[in-house]
Amino acid sequence: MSIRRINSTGRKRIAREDARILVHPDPDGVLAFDARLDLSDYALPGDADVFVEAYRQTTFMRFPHGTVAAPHPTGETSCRLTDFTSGDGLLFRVKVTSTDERSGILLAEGDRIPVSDDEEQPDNRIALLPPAPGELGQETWRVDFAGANGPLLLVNSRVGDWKALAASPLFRSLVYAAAMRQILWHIYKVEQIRDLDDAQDWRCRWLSFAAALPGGGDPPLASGDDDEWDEWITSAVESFTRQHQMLDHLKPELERIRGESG
Amino acid sequence: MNLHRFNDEGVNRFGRFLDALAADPAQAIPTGLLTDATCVVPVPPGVEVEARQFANRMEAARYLHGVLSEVTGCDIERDAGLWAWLTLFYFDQVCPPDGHRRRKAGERARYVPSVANYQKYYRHLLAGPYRVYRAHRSDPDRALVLLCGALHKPGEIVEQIVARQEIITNPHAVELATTIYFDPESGSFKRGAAGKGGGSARRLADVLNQFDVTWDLYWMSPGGILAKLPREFDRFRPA
Repeated sequence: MSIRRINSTGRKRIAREDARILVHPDPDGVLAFDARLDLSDYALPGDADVFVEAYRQTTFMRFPHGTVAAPHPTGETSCRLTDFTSGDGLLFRVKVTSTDERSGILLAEGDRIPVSDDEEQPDNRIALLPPAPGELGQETWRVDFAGANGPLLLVNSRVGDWKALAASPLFRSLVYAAAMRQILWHIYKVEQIRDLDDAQDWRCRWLSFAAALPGGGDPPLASGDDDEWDEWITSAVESFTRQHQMLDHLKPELERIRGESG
Repeated sequence: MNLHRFNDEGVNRFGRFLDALAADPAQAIPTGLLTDATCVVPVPPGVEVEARQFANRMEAARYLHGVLSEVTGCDIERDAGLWAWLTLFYFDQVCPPDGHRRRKAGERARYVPSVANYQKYYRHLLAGPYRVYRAHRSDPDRALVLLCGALHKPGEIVEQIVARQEIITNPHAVELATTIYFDPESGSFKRGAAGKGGGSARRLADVLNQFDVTWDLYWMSPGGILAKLPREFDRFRPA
């Protein structure tokens, strides 16, 4: 079970639209990054240090990136990602660290920032259930709760193009409602979360997401009654499937499969 | 022998060997796969790997880091075919036989790396220590607690520390783990470090996870982090 983290110092979360990271090869062919940061709306001390971190699994690089008042590399600071041979799967973190008498305190952070396309608009959504490949034997998919950042929808990597499968209307219409039900039940029964306070906490984000669905309603946080929670979860799942017209997307896929099989 | 990587056919046949090993633990190692032209591709620029014994994960990691530093044109850490080939090459060490010549293979990710799976990528018995060594190559001894174990037995401390990206990539946190859990006299972990009780590596990972909300742990020294650890870690603090 994940340990819930307490944000006792009021650390702020840097929104995705305020931290865009572009990656490109430099003249020597080495990957380099260009972080476009806007920290003006966070009421942070101007002299607080800014750091940009690039990471992928065990590969990690950290770069000083000026201060809140001037969030860009200074002097000889390099932005070269020399430890990364490709941008595939590369993520970034932006940290603002105090330099006053509370040195080292994390004042603000943005995490899991993907590489931006210069043309695209910033995507502020946080993926609640990102798909990922998994070695699942004969199991075709599974919701995995082992990570600290929230559940993953594991898709059997032996299908080949698991990404295409996860994005297909057939898969989504058959899997996502069941996965959602499983996750909400897990939050109630296993994680035993009873509030929506911490937007950084994946469990709170999931409950808030379900509560915000049309006709969803707030979860029965004060209740420990299984039937009451089951009723709320069922209502949330029904609302989700209605919103995304799951059955309506499934039918033409079934027709297509019948047609292909003659 | 020249370094090779398995192609898809090679990985499949290696996987079938592992399946067969589960059914018949005395199964012979299919060393012929290492040079079977239908299963392997040479890795440029023609690096030689030696059939040698490694006393522990650190020795293996140091050797492989040296050898693989000569390899060009590929993303070594994410090259599953390369690591699967090396696993077969060193199979006697990653899956040693018992006194009856029987081998007990563990989960597949220990032998064929799950490079895209954030929960399992570090469990490969050769790529795992290689990655740790590479991440801390400026001072590998700081990661001694993660590399002191036998090649085929990484241990629970590795599972707790390496599984957390924010910890394994933080040189100060890793140095702290070695400081409090590594016993230089025995060359292994201190008693209780790998358990579930107070002050264990499992608890350290949870505590650092909480600290990470409040402090910029990369900014703090190992001593600074140590000073903030709760009393449950007192039994592991250096004298």
